[in-house]
Amino acid sequence: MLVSEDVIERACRGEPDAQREIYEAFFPRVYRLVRRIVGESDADDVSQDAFVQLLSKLNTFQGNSEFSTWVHRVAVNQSLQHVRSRNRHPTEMLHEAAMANQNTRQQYGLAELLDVAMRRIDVELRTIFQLKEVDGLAYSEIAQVVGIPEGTVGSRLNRARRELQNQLLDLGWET
Amino acid sequence: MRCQDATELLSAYFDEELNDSDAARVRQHVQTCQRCQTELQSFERIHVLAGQFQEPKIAAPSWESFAARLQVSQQQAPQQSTLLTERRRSRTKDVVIIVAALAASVLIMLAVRRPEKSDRQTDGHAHSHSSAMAGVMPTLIDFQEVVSNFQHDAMHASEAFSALYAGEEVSIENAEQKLGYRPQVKQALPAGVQLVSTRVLKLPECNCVEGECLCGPNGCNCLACVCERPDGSKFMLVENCKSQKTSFGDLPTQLVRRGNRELKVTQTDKGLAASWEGARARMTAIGLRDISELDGLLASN
Repeated sequence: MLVSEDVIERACRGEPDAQREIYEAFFPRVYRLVRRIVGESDADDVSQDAFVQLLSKLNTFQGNSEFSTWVHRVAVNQSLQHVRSRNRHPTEMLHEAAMANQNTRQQYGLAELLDVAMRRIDVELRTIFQLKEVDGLAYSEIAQVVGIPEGTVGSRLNRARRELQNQLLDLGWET
Repeated sequence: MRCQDATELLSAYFDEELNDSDAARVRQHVQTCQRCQTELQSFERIHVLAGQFQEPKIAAPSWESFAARLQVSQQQAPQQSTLLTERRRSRTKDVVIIVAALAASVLIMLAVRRPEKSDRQTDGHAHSHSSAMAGVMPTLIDFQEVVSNFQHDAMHASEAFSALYAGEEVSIENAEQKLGYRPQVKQALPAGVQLVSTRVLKLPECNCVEGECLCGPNGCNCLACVCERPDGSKFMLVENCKSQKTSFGDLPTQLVRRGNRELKVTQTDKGLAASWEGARARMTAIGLRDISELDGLLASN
């Protein structure tokens, strides 16, 4: 547990020291998750928006789940809301190059390859993949964070992994 | 356990999220199923890859700067709440009027609408995707040759590509019948452009997801059309299942974002080719003159 119940209660009462403790304890993991969903350029802003939401709505945390699960949920909601809003107002831009298949492997290191592949798959699938493979959440926790039935998590992960494999192969991943 | 059932549980099995009984059934199946074994190996390789990825180390922006933002936001919240209440009151009246108008429109549409041919065909199209969830890799469709040759002899290049996949020249109406829905080229072509060739191709296993597939009643179909501009020059438009993977082979390819779409684009001195996910199908356009012609196609596909 990154912060104690006492800290949560004090933050709930609006004590700045406790709010600060939560902010500093959770910012890195919230940022990682947000960055994965919304991309590098908006990650900082959306992460801070997520913390504004989180600290403003702290009194709605019922304790029915782990506090960290609830934090993930707020971050995911804020990020998905941002992505949907961005998709409604698309800006035209040339993407950074992900060049020809034959030399992609040389341009990207193995781990970066995964980063590029993840950006290519559906935002909700990559969110679930991130929650499982990077944050190490259990299916029950992922279900709470994303707001889907626990039984659906496995089938979404099936799709995420298959699509990732396709994208990785497309990028020149050698299995 | 059937392969289809095991496949559905494969991630949960891999992540050790199944109860003992289900895990034992999946394990038993996997021992005799090469396809599921391959898929589990793929899950494992991706898991290892994810473990190697180093997330960038970041430090939280200072608490002081964030606290200022938090304070501004909390001060604005009560004001926004009052504004919202007022807006809601006036909106309620508007919504009642809009709902009544919409309901009337729907009733009128239902009264006058006659089902279109393509609708009936789609409804009657029951295609099984027995392999769709089995982890079969879709076969890659390589456009390199047709892109390279199209600039020299468009019709010949198109015929050669079509011949690779048992292409059959049909009328656009016949193509619609075979696909079970109305092709994009029938719905929208740039002004003055004519369709000069329509071929239905049988692509290899597409492994597409139910609902995203263009598989007609007789197998996995794809449509390759040659279109002629008013000056006699041509471009080609291919539509196939979204899940079927396409590539421009060794041609230099860029990922390009136009609006909310991501496209694979390859450009030569004589034009460009692009592939993107359209509303219903994966579209690939070959022999386009420039980005504005591509934008025209994107707007309608």
